[in-house]
Amino acid sequence: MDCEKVRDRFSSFLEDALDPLEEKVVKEHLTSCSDCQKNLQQFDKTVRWLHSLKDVEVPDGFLSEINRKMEERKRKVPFSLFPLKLPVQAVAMVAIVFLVLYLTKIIPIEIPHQKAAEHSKPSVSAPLPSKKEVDQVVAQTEARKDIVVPQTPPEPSSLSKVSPAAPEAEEMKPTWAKKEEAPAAAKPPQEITLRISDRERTLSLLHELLQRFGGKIITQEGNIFLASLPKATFSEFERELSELGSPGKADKMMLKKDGMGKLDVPGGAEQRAFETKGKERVTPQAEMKDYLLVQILLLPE
Amino acid sequence: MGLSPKIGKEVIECCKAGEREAFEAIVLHYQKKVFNIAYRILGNLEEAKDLAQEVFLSVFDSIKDLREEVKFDVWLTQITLNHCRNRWKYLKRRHYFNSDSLDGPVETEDGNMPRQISDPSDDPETSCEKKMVQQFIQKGLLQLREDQRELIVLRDLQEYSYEEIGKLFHLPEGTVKSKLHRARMDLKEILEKYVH
Repeated sequence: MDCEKVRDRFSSFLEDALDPLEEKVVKEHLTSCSDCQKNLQQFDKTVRWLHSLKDVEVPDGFLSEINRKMEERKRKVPFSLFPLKLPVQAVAMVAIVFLVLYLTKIIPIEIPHQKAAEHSKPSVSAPLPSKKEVDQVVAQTEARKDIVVPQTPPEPSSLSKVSPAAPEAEEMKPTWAKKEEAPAAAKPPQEITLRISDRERTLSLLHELLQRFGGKIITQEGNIFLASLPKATFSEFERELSELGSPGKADKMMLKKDGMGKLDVPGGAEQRAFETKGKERVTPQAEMKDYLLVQILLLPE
Repeated sequence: MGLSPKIGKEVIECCKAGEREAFEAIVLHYQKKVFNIAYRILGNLEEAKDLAQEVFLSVFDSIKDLREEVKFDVWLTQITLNHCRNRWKYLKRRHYFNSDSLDGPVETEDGNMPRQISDPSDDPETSCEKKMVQQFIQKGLLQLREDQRELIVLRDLQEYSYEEIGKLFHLPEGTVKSKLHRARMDLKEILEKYVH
């Protein structure tokens, strides 16, 4: 028997678990092999060391700590009441899937809304006459009566973008935003010349009239007023305005109307629409909620 | 478990029914064994205490599912070993055992002492020396493979029979013996380097 086989039997040899023949062979080898002898001594010492290890005493309060832990767990019962013990990863995965589904459903709706909002922005500012433009209108009106007030046509690009998404964007906007946008959708100003005898009285009546018809004065330059007015009320407003002129001199009220103005104005008043080349590009939706810009020129008799 | 007397069947049945007194009786009966297995496998008293308590909490939770034909002792040891394996992995991931070198000072109840190991059988009455040897062997155990450490702890420290170990590891007795022998030889080589 070689050294390796003898050393493989050390445990059994020390436990007296070898059969007599094997035990004899191992003993014979050990008497002749000092290496295996030394090895056996070390092995025996290791096993004796192991057997010399005593049990460690359990720390004090071991059981009471277990009871305390059990009580703590009882207090957390709402969590353990969950009938299904799902792994956290599984729950997280389901949550992610729902989140993704939710987002993929939401985003396609939101993107057009965002685009609509972006597109509608330029249309808000484009048709609004700037202060400079208004001044220009006023100056030219003063200079000559049969003028064509130049108005910057809305940018074709911005107008063309309005039509597809504008209704949706409009619905989403708060009422205050709609109010702000109302003049923006206005048509070019109508011009009304009114002969008056009592300026102060006419002015106060004009204000009252505008207020009644939901309009307001935007700018005033001497006897020239630029007012905005809902289109629907324009005819009625115009009729009542004509009565503000000198009594019995309704015919003196001059309403200039160029060929392009399509307003059907009763009472023989003339009107002129300052329409531009860009008008045909204004969408039907914009026309539906039109406000009119009305330029009122008071001519003292 | 090992040579400890078995706890009565009726106590286990009462514990299955949820009786706290029966559970406490089981804890008191097995706490030393469970705690010492955990301590020898993990090498840390605090970890061993915490783990042993977790073992008994697991026992209380799952004893109702224990089949009658399964011996309670084997079942409890299996739970203990499973907890030890999980805790060992957890601590190893956190490099808990990195500083556990046999060259370092020995931790004793009286503080750290320089390592000077001699054969404890030379002067077994020196209590300090015995403590140091115990710590030394403990650290040697921690350098073994996990399965080898379990075998030595169960057989040489807790005196389980080969048959019981065979049932726990689902191995034939002969295989248990040869594996245990290999573990002892490896431990001998580990300790040999540091003994003069």
